[in-house]
Amino acid sequence: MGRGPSGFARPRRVASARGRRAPVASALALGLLLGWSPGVAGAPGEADPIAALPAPSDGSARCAEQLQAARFREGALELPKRALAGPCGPLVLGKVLFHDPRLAPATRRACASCHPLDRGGTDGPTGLPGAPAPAPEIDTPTIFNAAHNFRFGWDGKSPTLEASIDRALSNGHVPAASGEEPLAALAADPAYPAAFRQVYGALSFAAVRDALAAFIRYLVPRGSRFDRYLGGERDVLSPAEIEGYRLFRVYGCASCHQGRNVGGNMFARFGVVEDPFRDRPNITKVDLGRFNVTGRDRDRHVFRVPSLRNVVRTAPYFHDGSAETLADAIQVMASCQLGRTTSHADVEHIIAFLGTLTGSVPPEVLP
Amino acid sequence: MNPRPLRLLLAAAALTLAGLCYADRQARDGDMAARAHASGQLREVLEADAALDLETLRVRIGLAPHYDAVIEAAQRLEGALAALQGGPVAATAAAEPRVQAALAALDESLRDKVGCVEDIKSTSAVLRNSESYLPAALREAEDSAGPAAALLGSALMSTLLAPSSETEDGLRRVALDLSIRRGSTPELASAAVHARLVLENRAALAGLSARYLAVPSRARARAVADAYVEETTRVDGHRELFRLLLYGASFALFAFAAWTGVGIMRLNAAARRFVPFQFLDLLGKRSIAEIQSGDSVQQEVTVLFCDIRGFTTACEQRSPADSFRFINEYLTKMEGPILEHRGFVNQFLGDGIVALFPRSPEDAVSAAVAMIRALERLNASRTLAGLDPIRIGIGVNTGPLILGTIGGPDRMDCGVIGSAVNLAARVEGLTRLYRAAILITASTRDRLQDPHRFSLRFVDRVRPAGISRPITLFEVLDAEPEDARRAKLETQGSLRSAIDLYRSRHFSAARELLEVCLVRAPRDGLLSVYLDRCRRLGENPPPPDWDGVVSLDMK
Repeated sequence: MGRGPSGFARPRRVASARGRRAPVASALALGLLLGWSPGVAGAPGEADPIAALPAPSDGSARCAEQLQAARFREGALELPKRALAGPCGPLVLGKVLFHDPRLAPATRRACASCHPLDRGGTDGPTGLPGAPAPAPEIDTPTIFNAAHNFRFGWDGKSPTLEASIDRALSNGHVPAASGEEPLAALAADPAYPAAFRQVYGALSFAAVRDALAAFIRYLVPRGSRFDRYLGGERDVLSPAEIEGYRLFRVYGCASCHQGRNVGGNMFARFGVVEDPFRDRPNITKVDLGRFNVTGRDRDRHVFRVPSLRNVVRTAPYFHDGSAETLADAIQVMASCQLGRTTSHADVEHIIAFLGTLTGSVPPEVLP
Repeated sequence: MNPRPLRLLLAAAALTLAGLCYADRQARDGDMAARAHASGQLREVLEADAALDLETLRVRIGLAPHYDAVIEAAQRLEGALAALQGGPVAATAAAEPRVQAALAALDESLRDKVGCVEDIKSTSAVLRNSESYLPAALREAEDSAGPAAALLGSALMSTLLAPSSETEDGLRRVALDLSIRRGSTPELASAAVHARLVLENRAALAGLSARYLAVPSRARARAVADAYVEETTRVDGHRELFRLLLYGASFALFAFAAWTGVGIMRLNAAARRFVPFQFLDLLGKRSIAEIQSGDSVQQEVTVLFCDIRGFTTACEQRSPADSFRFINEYLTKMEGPILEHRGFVNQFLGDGIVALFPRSPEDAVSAAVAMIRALERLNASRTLAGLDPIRIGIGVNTGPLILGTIGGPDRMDCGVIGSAVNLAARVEGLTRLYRAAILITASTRDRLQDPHRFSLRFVDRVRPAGISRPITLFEVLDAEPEDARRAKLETQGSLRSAIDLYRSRHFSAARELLEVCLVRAPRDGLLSVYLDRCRRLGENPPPPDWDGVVSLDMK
């Protein structure tokens, strides 16, 4: 995923056309010193902090066709036989596996049980993977755009998508400790071994993981109005939404919610200015965030900044699902992270802006 | 030594050496490829590291609007590191603790660095946010808390905009002031919090940056490279020694083969001197090695026999060494004309030469003429040295011969079998009788393509001992001195008539004619021979069945 020229060169050029401030000169000089061409180097704050999504990759039309052919509405146990009947590839296999509850024989829950693709890719707060009962609740992160995050999970434990799939398949979330158990269940269905032989040569845990990863990488809703706006279509956003974007930047939301996933590319402490956990009677393990991974004190309450793409469809919010609505979440963020109070009107504008981040879910991924 | 096992041994050694050379070359190619790969991977680590530094610096000074680039740089670095750990360097490290330690240290520092970047990102985000919000917060505080806050605010701002060690204390005071008044208004409290955040995060960022820059990733990457290079150099030393041995062995084998080859070539040349290659050609063999006992071929060949007159007597007057020197000088001179005329010496019989001319009788006659001329040159030099001239006789005969190998499997000679050889020797013996230099038989003369090319003179019909059919002899005059030759040619007609008279028993008439001829050619030995016979037969007339053919008892 090279930083393609279509990535964010265009928005930056548009931004720099809006005029420069005096200090830009020094920044430019520094940019030159660092080997940057003046046309690319932008002053801080001038460039759009959020980049457009890269264009869909080649061959996606054929993939979409295959996935579309592998639609299934019948009972789950019927699903592989029917779905894998047509042309098959890693994507089709991944889609079927994503919806197959036999991957977790103990709980009979499929990936899609907690990441329903027709409901924003998240089912809200559920038990923390592997935690003892009564399980503290953790908000299921959406599966959409997940592949573009820099780490996986609220605590950022998994550095790659594959590692995160391993984590999901091997913990209490989906109890399949070694990968042997689901493999046995899959092998019992004649449709799977045949399809895996065709695509991967053999049915193996690595192949299952690869198919799932391929499918999850495909789960990227595209064509959001904000992307089109960054792409140059100035009219697709209403004045209220543009004002929301301005506020999003001025308040400082874009300090952390930035990049092509509008978040999901850094860690941040929940409670930079005000501690949201101060008045909590009981702090759960989930609330400790990245501390659970690193054990370092300065990682207490540090979480991966979540992506705001599709955010209006993923309520409730925060790691514990404690904010029921976007307005609640925005106000908590403003006070805890930014040390700001917000007017009702500003919150409405920001919500309007966040609405423009919703892309359309590709219909072929749905069961 | 038996050549077959030696040859097999040499071939095996050459094959082994070639295989070792090839394997060595393959191994070296593999090494080179692995090293190129390793150096590419190390370079990629260094470049990815530098790219991460650049992107982190951009984040640090606020040039980057978001962190996608730094994330990509970090992923590239992690990818490069993973590749390095799956590549040839890691393979070397498995056996070499020094490389392993260097690799582990590099891995640790790069992971440190990537972890540090995470902290820089979140600290920068908070700092940037607080820095950008602080002026607005102070303005709001001024509105609500009055000029005291404004004064504090401007002091704070100026300190923040021009941070230095002198103003750091002022900044701390202002921040303390603000925190004291924290409770006064929410706006002031907010400004105080952001001022604290700016201070804290600036300090944190400075510390993080220092920590980040202190990570010795480049030095450790170079240490990995150094350790790897040192290890590979050590391995190279062994390889070099092996290669040296290999090349030495190859050279030795080559030298041995060359030495043997030169020996064999010399042996071949020597063998050729004993077995003429023309003989091999006639037998249809390419090498003397192919000859087997019993190989033979029948062909019509002209045989030239040459002998020195009175050689045995001459030898008795010389020491054996002188005799050898003389005979070799003489044979060398005689062999030249034979070879020039497409013949070859089949055999030396003491001072005698048996030469074969397989192609045409003309060759033999021309060679005989040339031999006489060569002898004249030899005699000229001998006369100058005060030595007696030597005289030779040459007999030439053509007939079918069997050329072949004679002997058993262990001792062989190449020889010719056939009456033609004997006859040539007899004819040579007759040169003494007829006082001619060169005599040829009718069978040779009849096979000459152009009989008028040479000056030939009928000599006699003789019946040598052991040969039933009479043979006709001709003398070749081409080698005679010019005046003697002319005289012989001029008297040829008269001689022919005299011989006819002689053969028809008119001895006295023949004598008269011969006397006339003798006046014209006083040194013609043949005339004397016939005069002698006529005189003898005139006194003792031959029996009635005399046919004029001389029967010769002598060999």
